[in-house]
Amino acid sequence: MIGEQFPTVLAAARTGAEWAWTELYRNFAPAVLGYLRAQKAPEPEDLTAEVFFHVVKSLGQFNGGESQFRSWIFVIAHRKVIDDSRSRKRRPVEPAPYETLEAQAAGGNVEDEALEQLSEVYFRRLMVDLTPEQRDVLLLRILGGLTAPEIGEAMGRRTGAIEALQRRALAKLRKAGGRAPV
Amino acid sequence: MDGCAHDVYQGEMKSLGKLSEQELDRLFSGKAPAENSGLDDISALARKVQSAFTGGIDPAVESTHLAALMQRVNLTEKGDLAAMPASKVTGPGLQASGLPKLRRRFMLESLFATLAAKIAAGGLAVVMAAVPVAATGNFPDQMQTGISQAVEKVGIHIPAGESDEADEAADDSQNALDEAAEEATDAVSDGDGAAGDAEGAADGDTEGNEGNEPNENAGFGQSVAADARDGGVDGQQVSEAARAQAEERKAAGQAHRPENAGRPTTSPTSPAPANTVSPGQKGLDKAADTPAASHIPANVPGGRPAGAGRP
Repeated sequence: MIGEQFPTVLAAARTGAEWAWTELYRNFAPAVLGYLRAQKAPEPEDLTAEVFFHVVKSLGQFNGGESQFRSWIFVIAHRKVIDDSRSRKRRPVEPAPYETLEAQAAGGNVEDEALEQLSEVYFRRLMVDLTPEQRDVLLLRILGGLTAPEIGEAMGRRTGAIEALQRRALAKLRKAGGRAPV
Repeated sequence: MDGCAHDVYQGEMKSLGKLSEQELDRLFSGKAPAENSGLDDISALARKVQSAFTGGIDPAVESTHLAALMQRVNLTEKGDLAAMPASKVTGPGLQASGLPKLRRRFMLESLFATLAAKIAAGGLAVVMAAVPVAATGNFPDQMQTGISQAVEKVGIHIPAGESDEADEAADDSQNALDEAAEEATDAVSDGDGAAGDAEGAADGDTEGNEGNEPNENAGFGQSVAADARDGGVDGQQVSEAARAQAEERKAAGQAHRPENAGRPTTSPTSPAPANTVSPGQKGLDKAADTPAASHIPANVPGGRPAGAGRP
């Protein structure tokens, strides 16, 4: 959260100040990247950059505070996921061989990576019972911090429908929580 | 067992349905739920999801993204957007000078579109303005004919230029004029004959009045032709009227013509009008009327005696 300084940062970003864009990126990019990873986007880092490119292009049309800015960025990210999924269906990309990726991979903290992978595996096992719409609602709610009306606007659904999807998703998660390994 | 599980699911749905939006916000943000709400598991789940997916970004990725972002910011200020994925950005690229290609293309397209629209609108305005005027036939003949032929091709009929009708009427009136002139010439001839007559020596103007009629007929024909060109008079009617008038005049001329009219005048006492040549005059007669009459030889074979025919 940027907090009270957000209007100043936003105004500076509109003028092209590098520090302002760095501030915006460091505050919102991790959540956007997490949302894209949770949505199983094939190249979440590239997609994150595209989300911010869109923000650069359309910042002149934005009006609002920090919470609205966060919602706006996640709406953009959600639509980028949909567009990326459609474009990949039209032009399938053959993935690189595992050996090539392993050779190019940078070294890191093995323990952290293992924990991260465990958490992701846990989450994915929880999410396996959810419909795609229920998963979108939960991810936008938990990771994006969007309200039900904001999610409804992003998904093109009524607020009541979003609330119903949310309740069903939570009920399924509570039911599946007992059998998921933690 | 399935029925029991379903009942549990329905119970959970009911309990979740009672949650307010604020309570759900607290749960999804990972904050502790209200006491004894039985929703600790959901709050814990939200925290796990956030910790799993909202870790930091790799510094290398962050620097790459920020470089690409600033490149976009700087280029966007000039209006040029680079289509380059962040993973392929190695550094700030060269900025394009002037307007970006996209904007230039759009400007050209809009310019041509505007020109085409202007030309089309101008043409339409000219047609819309010309057709009503042309329908009333107020254009000059050639222009009226051209517009009539042009709009005839698209199924609109407006009167052509008056040239055809005027020409037709003018032809008729010209025929009438010719006939009138012919009649007038006859009348002049008759008048000359009468002038040479003995009994008309004193009042040569009685028949000579007919000699003035060609002018009147010519004036009549000209007025008819002018009326025909204006479209105010039907040429056919004028032609018939002119014929009738000519017939009457011919009949009247026959009635006034003396019996020896048209014959050569041989009487020395009948003065011929000056500078008029009678149809029956011979060469010596004409020569006798000239100033060189005194030089005419007296004995000319077949000729008349000197002094004959002098006034």
